[in-house]
Amino acid sequence: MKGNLHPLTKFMRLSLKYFKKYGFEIVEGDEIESEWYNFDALNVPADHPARDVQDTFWIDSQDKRVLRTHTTGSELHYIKSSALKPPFRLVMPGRCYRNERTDMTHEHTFYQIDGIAVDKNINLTNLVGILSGWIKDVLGNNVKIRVRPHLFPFVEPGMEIDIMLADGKWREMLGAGMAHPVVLKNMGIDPEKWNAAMWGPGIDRFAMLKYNISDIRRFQSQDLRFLKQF
Amino acid sequence: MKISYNWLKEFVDIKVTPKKLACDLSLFGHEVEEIKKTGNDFILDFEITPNRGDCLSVYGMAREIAALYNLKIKSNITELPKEENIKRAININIKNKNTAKRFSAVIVENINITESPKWIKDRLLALGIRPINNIVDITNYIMMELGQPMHAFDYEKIAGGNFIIRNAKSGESVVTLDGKKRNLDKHAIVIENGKKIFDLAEIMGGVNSQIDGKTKTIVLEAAIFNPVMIRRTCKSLNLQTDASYRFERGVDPYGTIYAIQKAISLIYSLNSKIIIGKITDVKSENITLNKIPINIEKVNNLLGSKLTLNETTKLLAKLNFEVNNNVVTVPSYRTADTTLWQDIAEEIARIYGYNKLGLKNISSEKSKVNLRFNYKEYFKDVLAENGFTEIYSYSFSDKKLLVNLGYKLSDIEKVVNGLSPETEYLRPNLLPLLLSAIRKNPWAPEVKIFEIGKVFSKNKEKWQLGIAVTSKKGNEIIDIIKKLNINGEVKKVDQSILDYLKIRRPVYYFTMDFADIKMQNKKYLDVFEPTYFHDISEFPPTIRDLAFIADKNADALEIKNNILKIDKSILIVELFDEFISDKFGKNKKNIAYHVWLEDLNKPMTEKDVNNITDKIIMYLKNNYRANLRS
Repeated sequence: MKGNLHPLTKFMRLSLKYFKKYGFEIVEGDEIESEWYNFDALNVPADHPARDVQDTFWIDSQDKRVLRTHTTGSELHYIKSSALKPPFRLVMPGRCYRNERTDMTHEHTFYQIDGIAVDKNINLTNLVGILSGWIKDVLGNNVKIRVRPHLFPFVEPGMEIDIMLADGKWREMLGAGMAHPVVLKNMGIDPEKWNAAMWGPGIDRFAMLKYNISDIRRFQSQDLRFLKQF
Repeated sequence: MKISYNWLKEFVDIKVTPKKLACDLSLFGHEVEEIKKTGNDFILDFEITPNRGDCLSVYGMAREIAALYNLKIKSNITELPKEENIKRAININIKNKNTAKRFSAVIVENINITESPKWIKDRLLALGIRPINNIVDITNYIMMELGQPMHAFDYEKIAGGNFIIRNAKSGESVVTLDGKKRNLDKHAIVIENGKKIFDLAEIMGGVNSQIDGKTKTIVLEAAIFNPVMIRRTCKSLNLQTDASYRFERGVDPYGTIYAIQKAISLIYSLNSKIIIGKITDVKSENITLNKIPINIEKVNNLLGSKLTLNETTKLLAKLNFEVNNNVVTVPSYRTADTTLWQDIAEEIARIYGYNKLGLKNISSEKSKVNLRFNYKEYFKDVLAENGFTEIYSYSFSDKKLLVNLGYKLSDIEKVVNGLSPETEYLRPNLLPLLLSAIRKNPWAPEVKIFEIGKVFSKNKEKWQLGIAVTSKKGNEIIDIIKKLNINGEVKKVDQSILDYLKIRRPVYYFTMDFADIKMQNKKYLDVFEPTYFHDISEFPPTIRDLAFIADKNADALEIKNNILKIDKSILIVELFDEFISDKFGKNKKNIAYHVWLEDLNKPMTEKDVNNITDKIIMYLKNNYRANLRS
């Protein structure tokens, strides 16, 4: 009898296959991250509402650590601690956490594939090119995509990408942008010489669309009726 | 942030429907979450990002709309009375310089406190603001229209007209308009007259300077307070008001005088007998416009555009950014959020259109191999290929179960602020989660599961492999770890633990840290058959085992896939046995399936189940000449 891979494992691999084709190296990081890498390094100011205690799981320790709320901080941590020199392309898949109540569309445990491409001339149109290529690769060539300006403190310019659902409505799917100069500095990279395109999609919602899953909690449900269908 | 469509039209000739407007503004960076019709108006509910304090008003959003559609902004200020030389005076002293950049105020005499006219009340009510009296309502109206928070004080209650603006000292307090006594710390900004504190600056007014039915003379104030101090005070008092919300996000430092004038013109239009004094305007620092040098090549290199300086100048002019000799002057209301050339680049992209910039592929390249990642994925492939199902469990584990398993809670990494008790302790090992998975699937004929994930101990996290089976001897695990080329002890779960979890069958498990596994360079699968999930029922499934005698050449997997299509109640079909033997006849084999059945709407009856199994039996008989083994 054959067993089964988890749908998020499958979805992750399909996505990574796309990114690997463009030379993105897969790296991983710790799920418990320092407050500095999770927030400060990403230009999220100390007085920003995103720091509010209720959105983040804080670890019981003296040194202010959190369950990472995204893989972006881990990515920076990796770049800085390995003193990576540009140009480079990285993707960081991994588990992230938000301290929130769960329902059909909210989970305190979710997954992201952060990505970053640092180069002299990489630009906003490349960023849209990479991401729409990925979305079409995993969800099909017919999917309609649009881009909207949006604020994330770690990018400038920043954007959100929407896709059109079967009912004709736009659904926000991911945030991206060109790295903010402060963030580049925090990685040890000179913002006057290098550009960086970066993004951080939660992939659960993509997998839900791809596999027709209506309840995000199924992923961690441990229910074999769910798991054995994949 | 709610804004009225008709109110917007007072400032800009919008020619599109509210729905089209909402769609266009979304693509311009201002998402509209809801459009609600009220009477002959529409209320648009915007999600304004925290950097755009300038858009938290009708006028501010009208500016954006004017830029978007290339329209002119209109002024709706009406007639102003002449400023008079009046006897009463105000003295403003910004004692702690960084509490306020600017403080503007004016005395208005001959006030009559009444109800507001219906049109003002209606506008406020539509935005969720409770009307109070004509003066308070007008200050709120101005805040909604221009984004400048304002306050009106009863002049007679602040004897002497002194306004001393300073940080509070610890131990000081003020009773705010909601009747609550607020104890203050050094971040709070207060206004006093030398004798008493009468205002908690722009968070909420003080009761002791409040306007009442007898008020005849007021001071109208519009100021620019320190956003960080306001935010800290709001957080420590657990209090947020429409005014503090705007201050935290940045208020136009050039806008105070215009706001006061607009307020006066409104009061005057309702009561032409008022007398106004001279507007007093005090600044604690030189207020200037941001000037940012830009290099058009750098902008193009960041955006992937091919704009000339001339085109850029024209685009930016729509947003009131002026370009002279490669230096951009930022409009006053964008002072807080526009400080870098990259901020200017975003404005250029926004007004040009993100979608119009287009997209370009990047070059294909070879990527470096991540040995550990590949090895973990290769393990998953081997396990799945050999009948194990991958689970993803939460990184948290049940406190009682941990204690039962012999863990000391003080050794376990802990979350301090989880919303539920289930998210308190991080898993030190995968075993508790593997066990909970077995408990959750009592109906599964046999459970063979694995997980590869992080486990946590104090200040340390590790990748771990965990495998568990329900089986008499655990041989399945012994076989698979041999295939994975790893060694370790396969353990039986203690009966007391199984009893505690109400698991009614023996369980064997194996866990190993990846740090202890010697890794090789391996590949993993990344091509899969398309899968489409069928939702699962809240009622337990029924599982039937069906064994057939079929031709030796029959494709058992093809049969499995075809059985799935026979009825929508068939959720999962698992081939669990296949072998050739002469005892079934020449060139025959035995194939056996677990068939998982469910009904989304009700528990399945014996009759439902029999109907479906009959269908499956008939199907195999007719299409594969396969007969049910009795």
